[in-house]
Amino acid sequence: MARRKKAASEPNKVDTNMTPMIDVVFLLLIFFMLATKFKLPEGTLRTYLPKNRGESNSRPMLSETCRVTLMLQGGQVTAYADQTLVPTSDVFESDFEAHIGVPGPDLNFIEDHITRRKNTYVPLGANSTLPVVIDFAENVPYKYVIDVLNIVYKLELENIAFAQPEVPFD
Amino acid sequence: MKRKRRKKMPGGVEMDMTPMIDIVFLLIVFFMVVTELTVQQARVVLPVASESRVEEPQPGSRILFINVSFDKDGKEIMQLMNGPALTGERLLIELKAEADAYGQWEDNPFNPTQKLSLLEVTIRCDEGAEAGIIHKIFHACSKAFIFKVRCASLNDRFEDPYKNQP
Repeated sequence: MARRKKAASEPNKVDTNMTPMIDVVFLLLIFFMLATKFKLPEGTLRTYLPKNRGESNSRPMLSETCRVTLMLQGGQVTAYADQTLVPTSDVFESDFEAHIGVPGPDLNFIEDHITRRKNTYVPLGANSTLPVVIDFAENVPYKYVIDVLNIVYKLELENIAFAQPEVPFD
Repeated sequence: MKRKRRKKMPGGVEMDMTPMIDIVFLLIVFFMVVTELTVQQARVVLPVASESRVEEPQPGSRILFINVSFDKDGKEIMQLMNGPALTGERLLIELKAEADAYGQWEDNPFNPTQKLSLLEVTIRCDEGAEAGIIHKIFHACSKAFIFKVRCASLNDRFEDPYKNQP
């Protein structure tokens, strides 16, 4: 980007050399272009805790509940939709799975299963939706819990519960 | 940004550099603005969820962030904002103190003798963390009478956060 120096045509006029500035400006432009990483907006999934804890009589009958179980077996996340084993996905559905090199359960299968359960659900009362219980083992990556929660929200189901074991404080 | 001197090319054709410099400056300013050079909170790789909502905080509300990330040994740690790593028991003490300091309570419709805190908690948990830690956080929140709990995630679907607001 060298620029041939040109003598000032007028005797008292100062000649400004723009070349270094353009060099620096291009350098800055390239730096910021390479350093920029566009971030996805951060949102939240509502997981309000029940106010009526300890009152088991308000819980729906077990047979009416759709239960999604997540387990980690030999580095592979295994899922059950009710008693049905969810097949493993053929592809990496996220950067996380590509990073660890192990595909997770087929989320479309889980979505189809919950949709079927939702369509055949007989509401127990006004504004009641299919109760869904997400039961996950402690060592399951958190991503899969959010994946299932996301499916439940997508199907506009509001009666969600996390299977909660007794947690001894350490 | 007008430039008086112009480079003359053979044949009398002049090349005006002004628009190019204008655009380059504009691009620099754009990339400077969108570049995130500093990490404001604990480094957490959030999971992606298309149904997550970007909710504007209500006036007067207080949101407490619990970050779940990894320490140097790759073990999950819980932090309140960017504070020190907390055990489950310590988290409960901190949550109770925060709820008391906030001082906003509502009646529990299922238990007239009990008050529920209006303090809100957002869990920012790394997608690779063991989900069992969520049990600990839910348990601590429940014990501290905090029920407004949310799980943070990235939204991969563009959505106007203000569309439901008047």
